[in-house]
Amino acid sequence: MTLSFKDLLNSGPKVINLGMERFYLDLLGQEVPVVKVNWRPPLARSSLMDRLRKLRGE
Amino acid sequence: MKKIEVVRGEYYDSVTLMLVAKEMKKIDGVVDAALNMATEANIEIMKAAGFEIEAGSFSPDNLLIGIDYVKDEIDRIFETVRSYLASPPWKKKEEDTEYSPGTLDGAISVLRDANLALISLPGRFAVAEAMKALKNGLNVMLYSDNVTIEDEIKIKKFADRNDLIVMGPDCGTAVINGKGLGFSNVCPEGPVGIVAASGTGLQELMVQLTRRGIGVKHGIGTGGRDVKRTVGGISFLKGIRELSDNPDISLIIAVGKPPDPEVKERILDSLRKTGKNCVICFMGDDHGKDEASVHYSAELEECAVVAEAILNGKDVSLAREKLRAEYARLSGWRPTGGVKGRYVRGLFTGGTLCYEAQYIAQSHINPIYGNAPLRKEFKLKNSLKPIGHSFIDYGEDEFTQGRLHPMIDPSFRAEQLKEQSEDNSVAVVLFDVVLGYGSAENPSQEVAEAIRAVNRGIKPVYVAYVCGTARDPQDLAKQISLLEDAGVIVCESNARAALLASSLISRRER
Amino acid sequence: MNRLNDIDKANSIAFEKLLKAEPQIIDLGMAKDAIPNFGEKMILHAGPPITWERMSGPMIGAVTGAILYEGWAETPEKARELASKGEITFEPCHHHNSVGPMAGIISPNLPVWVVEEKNTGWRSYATLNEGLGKVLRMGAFSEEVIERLNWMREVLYPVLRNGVRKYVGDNGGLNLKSLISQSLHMGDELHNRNRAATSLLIRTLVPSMIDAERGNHNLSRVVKFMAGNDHFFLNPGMAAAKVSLDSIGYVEGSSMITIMARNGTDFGIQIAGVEKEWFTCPAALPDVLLFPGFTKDDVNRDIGDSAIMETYGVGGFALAAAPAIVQFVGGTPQDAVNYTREMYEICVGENKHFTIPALNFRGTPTGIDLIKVVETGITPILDTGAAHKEAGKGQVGAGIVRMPSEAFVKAAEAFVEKYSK
Repeated sequence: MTLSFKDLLNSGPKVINLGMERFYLDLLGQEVPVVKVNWRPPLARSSLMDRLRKLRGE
Repeated sequence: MKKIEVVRGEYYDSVTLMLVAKEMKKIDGVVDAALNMATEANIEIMKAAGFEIEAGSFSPDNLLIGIDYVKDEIDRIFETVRSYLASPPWKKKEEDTEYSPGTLDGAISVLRDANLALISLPGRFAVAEAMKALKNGLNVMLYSDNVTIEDEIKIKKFADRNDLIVMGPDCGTAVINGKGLGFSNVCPEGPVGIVAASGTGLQELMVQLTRRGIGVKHGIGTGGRDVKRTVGGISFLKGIRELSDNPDISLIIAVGKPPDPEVKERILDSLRKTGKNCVICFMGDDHGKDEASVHYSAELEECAVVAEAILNGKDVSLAREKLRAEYARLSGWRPTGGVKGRYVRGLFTGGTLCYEAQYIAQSHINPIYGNAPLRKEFKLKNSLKPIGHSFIDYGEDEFTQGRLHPMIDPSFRAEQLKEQSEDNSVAVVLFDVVLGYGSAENPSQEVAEAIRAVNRGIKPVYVAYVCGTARDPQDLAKQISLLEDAGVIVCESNARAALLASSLISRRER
Repeated sequence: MNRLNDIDKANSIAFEKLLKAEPQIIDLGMAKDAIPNFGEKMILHAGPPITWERMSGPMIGAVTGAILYEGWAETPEKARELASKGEITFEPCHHHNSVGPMAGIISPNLPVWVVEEKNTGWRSYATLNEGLGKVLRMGAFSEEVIERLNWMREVLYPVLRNGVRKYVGDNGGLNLKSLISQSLHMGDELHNRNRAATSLLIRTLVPSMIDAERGNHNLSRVVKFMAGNDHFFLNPGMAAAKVSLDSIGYVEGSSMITIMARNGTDFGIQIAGVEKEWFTCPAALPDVLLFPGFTKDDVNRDIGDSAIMETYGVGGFALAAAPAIVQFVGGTPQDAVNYTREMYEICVGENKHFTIPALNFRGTPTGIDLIKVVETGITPILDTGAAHKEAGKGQVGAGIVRMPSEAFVKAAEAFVEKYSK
């Protein structure tokens, strides 16, 4: 499923919020479909994460 | 002390009893709490725990409540137990426990037609999440800063190849289909589409358009670095192309600090090709000559005035002249009490508002120092110790490390405002208050309190601009009157506030 | 072996193997005879390897009890002396295709379930569950504990064994996978609640037990014992999980977790793509619901091989199936659902055999992906019982516990190290 930028403008934002809760609440208040991610930092330090990503060819 | 109470003929399951006991142990003065149905085995357990129980007189549907306590409030404690049994305090309402996924993938499985990831994580994590979002076919709005230019280019190119957009990094404001994202004001929907390399620039433009009854359908943010040569305006140009194709848009506005020259050329070309009316506001940039469909402006309010004239079929030049006449009248205004001191201090929460204010004020006062000055040589060595005329952006990275952005938490800027007001050389204090989604609930309140607390014989003149619309959640009228009640002169645009503040001084010096 | 697709492919191979596994009860036997390489004076324990010196209270208590039970010493003091002199060989259950709840002690003369994976012939072993209260697995070693173990060996074991043999003779192995999937639809999550599974097990076995032991006056006592212990199924359930996970074997490039286990001191994991290597860190301190009279200070570090249930895709991962025990996890069925939904985010896939009615029969989250754990910061949650930290005091509570992160990070480091070459 790829939704283009055009689709975003035409159908309006349907948002996944990662980070500041305030942004999520403001979107809820505007009745924008929005899901908040209860994000946590990765367990692994960044050098390990980088190697993992490399391993996966990213 | 240990005491037993017996509740007869009431059965509770053991988990409920354990939970009540757990709650009871949280109460000050309760050493131990044991709740058990009076089975033989449980009676033995209670005895082993030191509670005195006479055997033989209980049935298993009797509840034994044993409390070990140190404060002489045992009746109240038993009362609490009974209230907990009747209405367990741990029973949450269903709606409180709605599931929040822990990952982007999890969120996509909840909102299957999601089309935008709004990311405000610390920069070092933000890029990885942005890339994940793009790979899942989501557009990205990236509020995070501290993203390297290499990463910015990488994700923007990836997005471009996949027909997606990355708004940001460092993009705090956007409006999509009339819905505000991040820091944005409540504006009517209308025929205008904006591409902005500046957050508060976009906010001020939308506010000025709203005050002229003009609505905005899309306000696409790009982040300030997008128009640098290295990034090449990837998102900016994409925004223009989409607005060009969009049948709902009849006027396109491009706004930001001046782009690098080659990027600017590409933007101009792209705007010309849209065939739609366009207004450009690259603040402080050389004013180009209006072309058939492309008009120029140097300030945000002027940009709104030009857009208004175009949309209403009025003469653009006349509209500009009318605005200049108003500006001229404003710069002739003087306060009744006169002005004491020599310098203007600008204290801003909005980066672009600070930039525009310097651009406007520089024709009246010079030099203007700051932490983001127009010319490098006027950069303050220490942003906390301003000298001469100084305009400071409290939203700069140096102030937001480990501290909330001043639009979210106005307290630090308020402290600084009080401190600088007490500097006898300061004649005028200029500041902004930005309303809308994302901003503090009652931002004028703290500034007003700070002004009242200023300890100085004759206070400086306060000039402010409140960037907000009547429909913003903070209540524009209330925010203005909070300031006016504290003696602040509140202007109708950022440009006017900067003009007034600086002309008060320049006239005096003349 | 250096692309995302390869890791994904390896994980789906491991995942499919797990789903294909058909664990069956085929017999009962004495540990020393049934379990391969069971040495003399050997005691198996839960979790990763540990020396006597580093054992926690409940583990010491359970070892003491086992020595008394085996008759290797007369008194608890002498039992400890024997252990401290190094005369007992301690090895993890997991090194002998076995699993044990809590302390997980298996000594030579304890009867064990024999569970076999139909396709590979791999076997696994687990003891008979003693019930609640003062029991060996919780570190208790008093006389009543030893007496019960003796009764279980002398009375329960032969009756049950003969019943199982009769059943297996008539029907072939007793299908544990189907029993587990049924009990998930009856309110069990197969770790802290085994009531339905125990009932199904009894319902399945009792006719054969009656056939095999007609006239044995102990029959009714045996059935009563089984029926009086809601957790009777936990042990064969764990053996089913163990043999299914063992049937995956080594899978080049897979980051799927095949073992999670705690010994009361350390927590350890193994993954399919790094053969037979433990990655350990200090075990979690469970913040559980406490029985009356106990405080937080009484709680021992997390203990038991029962984490194999979550590794298998049930237990805490299937909490949404067990609304009856949601008070252990915060109060509402929504809380239970939320835990299960969170676990989907770190798993390779959804189990087509184990489904959850409350989630519209969505499969349980199955096959923990180490990489997802370190990427998302979400570590597995487990249903658990908690033991008193002093030897001999038994269980103090039950609830849920989140696994500590360091073991996952260590495993990820080893995985990257191995496959970056």
